[in-house]
Amino acid sequence: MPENKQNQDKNTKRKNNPGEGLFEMFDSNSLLNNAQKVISTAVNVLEEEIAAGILAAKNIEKKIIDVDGIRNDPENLMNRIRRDTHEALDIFLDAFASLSKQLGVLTDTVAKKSENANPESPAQNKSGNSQVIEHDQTVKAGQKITMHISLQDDAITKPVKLDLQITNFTGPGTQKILSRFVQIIPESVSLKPGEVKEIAIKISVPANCKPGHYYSLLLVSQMPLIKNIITLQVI
Amino acid sequence: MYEVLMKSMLVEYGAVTLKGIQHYIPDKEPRKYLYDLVHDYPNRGGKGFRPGLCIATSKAYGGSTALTLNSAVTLELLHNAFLIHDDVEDESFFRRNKPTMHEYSNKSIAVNVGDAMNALGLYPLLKNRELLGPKLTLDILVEVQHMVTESVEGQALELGWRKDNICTLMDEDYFRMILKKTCWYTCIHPIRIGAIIGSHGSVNPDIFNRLGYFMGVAFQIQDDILNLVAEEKKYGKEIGGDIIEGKRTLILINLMQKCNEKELSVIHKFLSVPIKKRDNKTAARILSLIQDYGCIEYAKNTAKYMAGGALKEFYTIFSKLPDSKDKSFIESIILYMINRDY
Repeated sequence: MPENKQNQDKNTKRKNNPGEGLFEMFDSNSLLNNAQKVISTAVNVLEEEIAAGILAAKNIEKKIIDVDGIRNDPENLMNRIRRDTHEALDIFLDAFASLSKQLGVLTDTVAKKSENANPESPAQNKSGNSQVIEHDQTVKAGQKITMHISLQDDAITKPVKLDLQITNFTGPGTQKILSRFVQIIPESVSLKPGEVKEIAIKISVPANCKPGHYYSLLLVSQMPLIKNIITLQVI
Repeated sequence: MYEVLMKSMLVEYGAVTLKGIQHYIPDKEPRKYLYDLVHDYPNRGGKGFRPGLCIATSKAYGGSTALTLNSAVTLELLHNAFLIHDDVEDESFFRRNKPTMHEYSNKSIAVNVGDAMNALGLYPLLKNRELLGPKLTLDILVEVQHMVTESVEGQALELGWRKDNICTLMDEDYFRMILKKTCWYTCIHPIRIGAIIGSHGSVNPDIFNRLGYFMGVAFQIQDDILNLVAEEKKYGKEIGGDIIEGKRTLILINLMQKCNEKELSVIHKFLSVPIKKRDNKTAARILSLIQDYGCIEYAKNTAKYMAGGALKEFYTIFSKLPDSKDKSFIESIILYMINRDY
């Protein structure tokens, strides 16, 4: 019977700690103690499970990626780091492009207002835009590389003259390829509506240039909102 | 007061989530034995606890319903898929006052509908990319992956206990099982996902683990108590169904710890036969033992301690945020758990 069992339990308790059962009901802290006991048991379970989860995740990672194997293969490790860096750079460029786009939308409104105020101002491409020009090939330090870019502007209605400029290439850490090592041919282009013109960007990678991904901005003086991001991988 | 707020907001967020679910269910064949049935459980009107917690946490952290809706839809779709499969596994007869899906169709169809809902739940997660960007989308995907893994592990624990007819469980075994089976997907992950969205990934979601855990345990224990004491119509499931199913609730575990050997042997024998052969007479006797040994009272107290722990965690975390209706809503759920009179 339940009653017998309960009495039995209480008797056992009394034997272990005389008087405990008798005073339990008068103990004002009893509720709090019970709560603490229950919470503490529960929290222990949570902590154990989280720790077990982390361990299991690490074990799965270990099964999928042979960490020790990668460590013992420096070339593979370097490739991995290059790839990861490339991805990180991509994310940065995406963010940069998105930011430029937002800025473009903002300046577009300002430009429209300016246009209304001064209708005689020269025609410009008012929409801010960024695009990434990535060179597929890799280049070694000390070597030269040429990139070809086609220029076309669907927005123009009359011929425009475009002056091109390029910024320093920024690479890993503080590494740079200065713009004086980069040549744009030709630096000035006259573009008619619907016309496509090709320019070449010649880069002489300095011999002391460290491996990594480098990027630069190709700017058009007449269209300050347009930024072409040029990337290059030095191995 | 808080009960009114809680119920009205659960209804509000439940309705918007249901609309979202309907949006993602394809309007095409096969209808009769698949897509029409996919609508069934969500349309029965559950509590909407998970989407409610997710959207409210997101908004409390500066997010919006629109940004959180896709994730809330996934949570609710996966929840309903779990329910369909759970009903098959438990051989339940009723769900939200209506026959369970496998009862009015069959087990094969019900399992397949559950599978379809799991698959449909992936689509809103992909759509998150358009609103939240790739990083948060991936973060939420990882949350959902963990949530589903933990839930099936928890379910396996309990099904294993039933299959092996384990009658020597302790409270910590129950806490572990409920943490895995219920807490992650009912509270912890909905709150974590909401916070990730609302804060745009700037909040460490681990700070919500204890809050969600305490809430989840309190919620589950109270659900188990309701199964024994509520009115069947109000509760929506058969009363005492958990006893017949042999669910290892804290109440049953507590009874098995307290009862004498003879009584334990009766319980053990009752649970060793297949569910459909378990007799109501013995089930009634077990219910009577539960009452005699004060197991329901014990469970009620444990649930209140847990809800108390949840309230402390809530104040620690949310007191830093500005007051809002959504913050009050989360608090109201915990207060409701503490003051619930069944």
